[in-house]
Amino acid sequence: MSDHATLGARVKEKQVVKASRVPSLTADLASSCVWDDNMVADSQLRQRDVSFVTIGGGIGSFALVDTLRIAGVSAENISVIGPFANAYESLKSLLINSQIPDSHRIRSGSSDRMDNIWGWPGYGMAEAFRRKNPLLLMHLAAEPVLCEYYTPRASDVYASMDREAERISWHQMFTPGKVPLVRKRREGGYFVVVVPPDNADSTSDVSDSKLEIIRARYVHLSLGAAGLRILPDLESYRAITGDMNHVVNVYEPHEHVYRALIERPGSSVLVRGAATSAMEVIGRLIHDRNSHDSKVVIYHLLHHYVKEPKGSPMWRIPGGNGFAYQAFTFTKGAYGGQLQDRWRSLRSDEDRTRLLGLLASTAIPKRRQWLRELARGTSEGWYKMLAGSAAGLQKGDNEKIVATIDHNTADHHDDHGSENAASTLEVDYVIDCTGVTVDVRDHEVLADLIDCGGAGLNAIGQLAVNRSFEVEGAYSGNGKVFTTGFSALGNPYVVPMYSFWGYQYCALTIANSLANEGFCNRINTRRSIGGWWRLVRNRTP
Amino acid sequence: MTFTLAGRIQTRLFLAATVGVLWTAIITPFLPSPPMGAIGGVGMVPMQMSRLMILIPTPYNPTPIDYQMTFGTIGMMAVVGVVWELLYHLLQQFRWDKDWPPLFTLLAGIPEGLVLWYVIHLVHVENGTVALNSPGMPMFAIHFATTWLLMWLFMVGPMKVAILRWRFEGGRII
Repeated sequence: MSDHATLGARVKEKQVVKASRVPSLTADLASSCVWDDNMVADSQLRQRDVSFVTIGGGIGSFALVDTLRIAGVSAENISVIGPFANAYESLKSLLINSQIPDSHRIRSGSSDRMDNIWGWPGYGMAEAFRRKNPLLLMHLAAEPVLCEYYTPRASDVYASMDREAERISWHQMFTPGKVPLVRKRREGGYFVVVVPPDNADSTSDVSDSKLEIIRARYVHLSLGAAGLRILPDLESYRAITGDMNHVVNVYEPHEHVYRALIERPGSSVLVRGAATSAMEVIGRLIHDRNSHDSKVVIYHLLHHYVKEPKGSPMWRIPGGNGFAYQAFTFTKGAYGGQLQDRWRSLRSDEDRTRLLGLLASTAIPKRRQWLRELARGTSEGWYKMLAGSAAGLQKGDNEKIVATIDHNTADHHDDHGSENAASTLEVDYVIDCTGVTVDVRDHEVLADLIDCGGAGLNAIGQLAVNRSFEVEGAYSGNGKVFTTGFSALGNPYVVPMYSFWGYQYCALTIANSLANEGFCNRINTRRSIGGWWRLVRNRTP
Repeated sequence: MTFTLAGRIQTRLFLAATVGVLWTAIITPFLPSPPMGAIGGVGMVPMQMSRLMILIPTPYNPTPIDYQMTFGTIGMMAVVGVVWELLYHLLQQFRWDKDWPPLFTLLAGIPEGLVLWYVIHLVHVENGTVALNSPGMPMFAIHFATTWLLMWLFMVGPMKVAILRWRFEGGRII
């Protein structure tokens, strides 16, 4: 998805959030950071006991639950709380917004399979057998030397997760709802407050009988990108003009933009960003141009025009045609290879920031088809690449938007703008693909965990975790809170936190740590082979 | 593959000790032993299966010398391989992604095989001439190529199942 450096650097200033106002909690409970069994019993709220609760119910929860089930934890001992029954639902809507519908391929490797922690057979091999296509096997053997990386179709990812969800009894473990609070239990472990989804259209408070409290020893938080925020300049444009339609972020629903561009042929759009999501957006615009004759004119704003490979011999990022090239969101060696070792060896935040700048370079996979289309657009005059940084958005005449572009920061590029110059551009729409900000406090439960549960923050303002992804400071007796995904970004152990690989890596690490405590079995060679064989035959773990 | 240096060396030794040793034990009796190995060698026995005539390779009695040669070859492949891994790791530093595509590992069998052919003469695992038309060449070539291919196939697939942490920890086993 989006660029890690941007995510890290733009974490917003912290604002003090007051403890949550959950309807129908007794005053006693609402005001205490540590609850005991008697207080909860006195509240008359529904209550149940589960050893392990995972909150979020998305990809992060799925990876961990899958691993724990394989490590021998029974479905009765696990509870999953989240807004959607299917773990991929949030991912799917983000992908659809960023122009990767089910039939398109996602930017992920063959062996990072969400339904198979072993990664073999990978998505590619499965597709080769399904489509009886032996050439695909040769493709897998030759990638990325002789051909581009194989990437799985989004629909295949979802379908395989459906199958695995069935196998591990996901739906039996799943409870729909939102968790506003996780409070420490005096006797050890935690109380998890679950507010059921408000499916009635009334505005009335949730009634007492519906609120549920789960008593658990372990809590896992993987709340995902729900707290994504648009960039400040978009926010201020919207605040000043009141116009919510013409300036959008790629992860927001913005189908109306494409519809309008088709309805009014010859309109123009400014796409900002040089990462994959910008390319997917441009791909959609070109598709609409070809099949709906939208005649759209695309301005593409890149921070730097990359003319050629750049850097020292040991750190030379491939590049050309304006873009830096990298197959995946992070440099491959960060996915468990030597760059992960390097990351772990660093001791200062400055060193980590410097390395992250390299590992999370803004880049696109070098897909020939994209480059061909852009070359065609350039020669036909409907695609224009601009180098510079966005320096303001204003409302112009006739519903137009005036975008100011500062070329000072850009590398020199022959066609567009000389040095020390700023220029303005009039367009009908702006689609921003440069990044998002995440704030840990956007999630009520995380804010409460910081204010009330003792959770610490790391250098970039996310939750501080130890090597096993336990939230530091949030311990309660023999209980632990784990967190993976966005809320553990900036940790000194793993860089690609929001990748399929990252979720599975964290899941395996947590499972190992829980095995040390006797909660599950260690996935040694015997259990690994046995578990894989059960998966292949589609038997319950 | 995202190898660390330790992971490379561990993977190499692990594959040699498992797939390499097992396959060598299986295939040695079927290899075309050079004349100096006396009675070893491969034969083909015609076999009637319904209406289909097939040829089944049958082992002659391999001699201890044959086993000494094949296991010696695998051993040297592992030992010399550690040096090769140092070179690969150095080359990996010039790759932006700091990774090592499986195709590189597969193709590395060609230079490694050639060097190994000289090395096994150097340490007297194999005797006779080092010329590529040596009588011992077919045995070595078949043995080394099949072993290399099997090790590679195991690495890109079943290895991930046998040792779950392997692909998450840069190829490290311990």
